[in-house]
Amino acid sequence: MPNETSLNHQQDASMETESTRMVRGIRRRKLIDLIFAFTGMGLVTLALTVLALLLGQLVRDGHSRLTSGHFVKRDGFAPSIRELVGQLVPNTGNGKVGWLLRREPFEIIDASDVLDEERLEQLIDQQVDLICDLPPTASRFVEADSLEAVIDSDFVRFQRDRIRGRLFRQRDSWWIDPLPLPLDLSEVDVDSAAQAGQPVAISIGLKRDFPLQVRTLEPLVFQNFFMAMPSREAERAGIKPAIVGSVLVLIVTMLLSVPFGIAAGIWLEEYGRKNWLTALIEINIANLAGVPSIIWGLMALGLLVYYFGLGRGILTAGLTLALLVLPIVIMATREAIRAIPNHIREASYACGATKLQTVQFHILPYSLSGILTGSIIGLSRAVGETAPLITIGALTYIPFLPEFSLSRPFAWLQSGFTVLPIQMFNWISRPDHAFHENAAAAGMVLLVLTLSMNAVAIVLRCRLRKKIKW
Amino acid sequence: MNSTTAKEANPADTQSGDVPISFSRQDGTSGLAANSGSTPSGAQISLKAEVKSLDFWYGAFHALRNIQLPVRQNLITALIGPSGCGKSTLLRCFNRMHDLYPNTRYSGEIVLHPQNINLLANEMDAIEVRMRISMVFQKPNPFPKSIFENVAYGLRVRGIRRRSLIEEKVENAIRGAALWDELKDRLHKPAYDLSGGQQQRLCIARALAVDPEIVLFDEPTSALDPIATGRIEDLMHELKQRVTIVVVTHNMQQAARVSDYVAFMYLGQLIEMDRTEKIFENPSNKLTEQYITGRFG
Repeated sequence: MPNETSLNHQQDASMETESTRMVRGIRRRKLIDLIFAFTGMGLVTLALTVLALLLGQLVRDGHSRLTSGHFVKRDGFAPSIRELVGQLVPNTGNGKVGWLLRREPFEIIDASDVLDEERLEQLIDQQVDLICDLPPTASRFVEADSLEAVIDSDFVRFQRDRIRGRLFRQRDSWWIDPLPLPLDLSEVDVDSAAQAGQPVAISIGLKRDFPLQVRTLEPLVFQNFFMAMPSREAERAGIKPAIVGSVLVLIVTMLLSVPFGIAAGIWLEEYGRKNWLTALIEINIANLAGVPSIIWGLMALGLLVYYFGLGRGILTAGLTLALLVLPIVIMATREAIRAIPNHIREASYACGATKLQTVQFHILPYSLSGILTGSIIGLSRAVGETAPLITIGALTYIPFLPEFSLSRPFAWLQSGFTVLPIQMFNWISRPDHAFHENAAAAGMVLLVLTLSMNAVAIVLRCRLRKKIKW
Repeated sequence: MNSTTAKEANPADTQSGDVPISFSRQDGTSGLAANSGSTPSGAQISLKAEVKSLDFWYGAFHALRNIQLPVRQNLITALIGPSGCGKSTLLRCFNRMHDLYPNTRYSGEIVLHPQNINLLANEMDAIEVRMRISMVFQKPNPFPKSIFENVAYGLRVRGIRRRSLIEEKVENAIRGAALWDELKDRLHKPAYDLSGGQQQRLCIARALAVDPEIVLFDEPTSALDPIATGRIEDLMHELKQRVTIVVVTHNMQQAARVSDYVAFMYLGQLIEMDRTEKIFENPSNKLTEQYITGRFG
């Protein structure tokens, strides 16, 4: 009996240790699980933080350029350096002249070192005359030759090279808020009443007398970052040709790659027999999708530009990017078609349909969401491509748009072009920091473009998918 | 699955433990002459189709061996047999579904009467075959389109454009599949919103819409519950008036319930083919008897 009880005890003890060991084991495994979960969560947080920082920097650098703009003449060019820019207002006070030109405050740049800070302090909020070498122009900076308090109120001596206005200080810089400039509009053939309150550019006559004689008066329009041509001045430079170029190249790419890619994918999946040749093609298409884009650029340069002589225009660019996107479209098509269950095909064929009818009524409609998603993601990759387009010789500075005319409807295909990433690259490679802001702003536009394309892809997928279930 | 007919089988025969693998293959054409006197309907039975010396290969695999099978007009012929015996393969020879896949090969003939054309001939277009012979599949497989479009599809692929004609034929087909009262108000709703049994009857309507000569049923109720199964079986009985039916089934009670003739297949061969009562009550082949009494399969 004692033997038996001790045996039972031993058994109990061993069972106890067994269960405690099990509990310990579970605890250990759960701990490892927890560590893994926390590590993963931390890494995801880190990644999101880095992403937010990157985006934040882009927005910080670029946002001001997206909202700012400048005035240009109707022909798109900025007023010349000899022209005065301001708002045309009717003169109500003085009966002698009918019109005044109200200008924005100028920042004073003390190039000749004529300004004395202490004297300036005394002149704050007083009427001063700023004498400058050149007439103060469209630019908001003036170089001071001398600055003096207004001695007399004699408007006769008021000259075009002189700004009379109120001196004020903003942060560390000195500004002058000019008095409205009296204008003699008798010589210009303009409906001045219609221009009242509008921004105008004025080129002035030779006489330096009062009121300022006006030779020409041109209305100005506001031009923002999106509508401006590239320029040597960062503030005036815009992305209009880059956006137009990107869109046109994208259209050509889409028209070339999507139909051919879908057709190729359908042929490979539905028509092509499964043998070593199609297997080889399949492997090669997968490989082609991974070929570095600059290789495509080199190939396009040799084949399309030099051999076929297609030029370095939008057509060549579209073809190059189409080659780049084609494997992606083919693979997306094949994936989407493979997702269609075979019983749908059999049902269609059993009704007496031909292959084309099966494709037309079933395969294509049911796989369209996947095909479009894949194609759009491929195209959004093409939008961001720089290397192959630089290789084929895309221009980096084009102050013009491709030619559109009904008599030569395809002339634009041969036109020189630039695209957003190339424009960005061009700006970044300049030393002036102001251009880097432009690049950041263009980067935001590019990012929005690609993200919205992807969003369209997602929406399409959801919309089309909702109707189809097996 | 021991069928009720097993009780009626001769107990003396089921005593023998080992399965004799010696087949006495029945010649279908000669069998027809012997049986034609006592068909279930009693009327004169004509042949709708006839499988003659059919062999079929999947690549190197010899799936069907020398099949002889008569298919009687306006009757239901059931193909039974254990899994992998080739009954679905045989069924899919009728509408040449095997043509869709590479490495398949036929030899022999399936003759369609009364035109007396060989469905398997090279010069016979598989699409024409499928226009004459419809098929209902194992899993309900409506298209992800509306109910109307599902049924109209067979007409549309034939190039029929007239809306009134399509509507009329669709209605007739849906009525034929005993679905009209349930579906007449929701013809343009997606077919996938229907229940499994309704989907399968919709597939039958789709097969009927094109006025086929033969409808092939490939285990049409294996994915359905007993009530839906019962409806499909009733429907098959009604359809006999209009078309000839060949049905593959795993379920021997079903074969006993719906069919007029039963063909038992084993390992790619047709073992026995006879009237349903004969097969289930007094099979002439030992293997058939062992199968229907649940000894194997």
